[in-house]
Amino acid sequence: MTSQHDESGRRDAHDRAPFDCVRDRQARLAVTAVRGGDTEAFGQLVELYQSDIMSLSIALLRNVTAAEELAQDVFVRAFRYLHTFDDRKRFYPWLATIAYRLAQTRWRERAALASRANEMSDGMAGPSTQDEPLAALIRDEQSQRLWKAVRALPFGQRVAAVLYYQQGMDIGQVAGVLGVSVGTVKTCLFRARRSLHTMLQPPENPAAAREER
Amino acid sequence: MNCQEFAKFVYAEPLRERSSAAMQRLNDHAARCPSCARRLAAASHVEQSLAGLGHVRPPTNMLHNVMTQANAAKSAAPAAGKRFGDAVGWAAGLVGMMSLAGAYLLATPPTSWLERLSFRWTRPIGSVNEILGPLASDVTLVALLATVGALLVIAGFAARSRGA
Repeated sequence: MTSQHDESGRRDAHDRAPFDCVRDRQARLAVTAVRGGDTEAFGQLVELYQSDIMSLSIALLRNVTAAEELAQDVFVRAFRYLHTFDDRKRFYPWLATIAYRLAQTRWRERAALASRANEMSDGMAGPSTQDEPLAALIRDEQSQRLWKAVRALPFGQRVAAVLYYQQGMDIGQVAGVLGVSVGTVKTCLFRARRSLHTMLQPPENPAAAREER
Repeated sequence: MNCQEFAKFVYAEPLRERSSAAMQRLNDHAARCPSCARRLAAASHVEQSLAGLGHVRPPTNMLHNVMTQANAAKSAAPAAGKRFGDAVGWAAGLVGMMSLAGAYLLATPPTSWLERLSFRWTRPIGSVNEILGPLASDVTLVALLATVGALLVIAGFAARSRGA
C-alpha cells in the first residue's frame, strides 16, 4: 500500500481514478478468491484498503485508539459478510458503509457509557479526543495541520469531506454511505469548504480570512 | 457577475462538479477584480489541500490482527454448522421415530390398542375410535408412515454423523 502513495502519503485527485480502477480490479479478484475458500486472499483486501479505512475511521471517531479498533472490526465484519457483497459494485463504498454503521454503534455505546460515567462522577467531563496526537500516524507536517483542521469540523462535514476529497468518491456514493440525500452531502461539503477556508488561513492574518468569507 | 454573486458562487459547488462555463464566468470576473481573484485562489487552495489530505498510516499489526480474527471466524463457522446439523438430525430422528410408532400402532389390530385405550378413557376414545378405526385398515397409509419414519431416522443419523 505504501508504494502506491507518495512520500507524504498523499494522492492528488487527478491520479486517483486510474489508481481506483486498478484497485477495484484487484479487489474483485481477491473477493472471488476468498469466496472460493482462500482466506489468505482477504489479506490483499486489507492491504488495499487499510489506509483509507483508517483515515475514514479517524474522521468518524476522531479518537485514534478507537479508530484503530474500528478499522480492524470493519475488516473482520467485511470478511464475515463478504457473501452479501454485490460484486457488480465497487468494493470500497461497501466497506465504507460498514465503517459508518459500526461507528454509529460505537457512538451509541460511548454515549451510554458517558452518561453512566457522568452519573457516577457527578458530571465531571472526560479528556477531549480532539487533543489526541495524530503525529505518529501521519508523516508530514502539512497533512497533520490539515487533519487537525478536518477533525475540528462537525461530524457530517468532516466525514463527507474525507470521503469526497481524500477518497475520491462522487457525491452520490458519499450520500449512499451516509444514508442521506445528495443535497445534504452538497450542503455538508459547502460548509466544510467555508470553515476550512478560515481554518487554513496563515495564522498571522486571521482578519483576512474573515473578510474573504 | 458582480462581487456578491461571485462570493456566493465560489463555494457553492466543489471544483470537480463545476461546469467549464461556470468556471469561465468565475475566471472572467476574477481577472477584473483582484479581491475576488484572491477569493478564488483561496477556495481552490482549500479544495486542493483536501484532495491532497495525507492518508493515516494504519497500525503495523492490523493485517495480522484482522487475519487472525478472520481465520477464527472461519473455523467458528463449521462449529455453527455442526450445531445446526445436530439439531436437524435430532429433529428428523424424533419425527421418524414417531412415524414408525404411528405405523406400528395402526398396523396392529384396532381392537387390541384402541379398545385398550377405550378401556381407560371411555368418553374421548369413543370419538378417537371413529376417526382412527377406518385408518387402521389402510395398508397404504401404514406402509407410507413406516417408510417415511424409517427414512427420517436414517436421515437424522446421517445429518448427525456428517456434522461430527
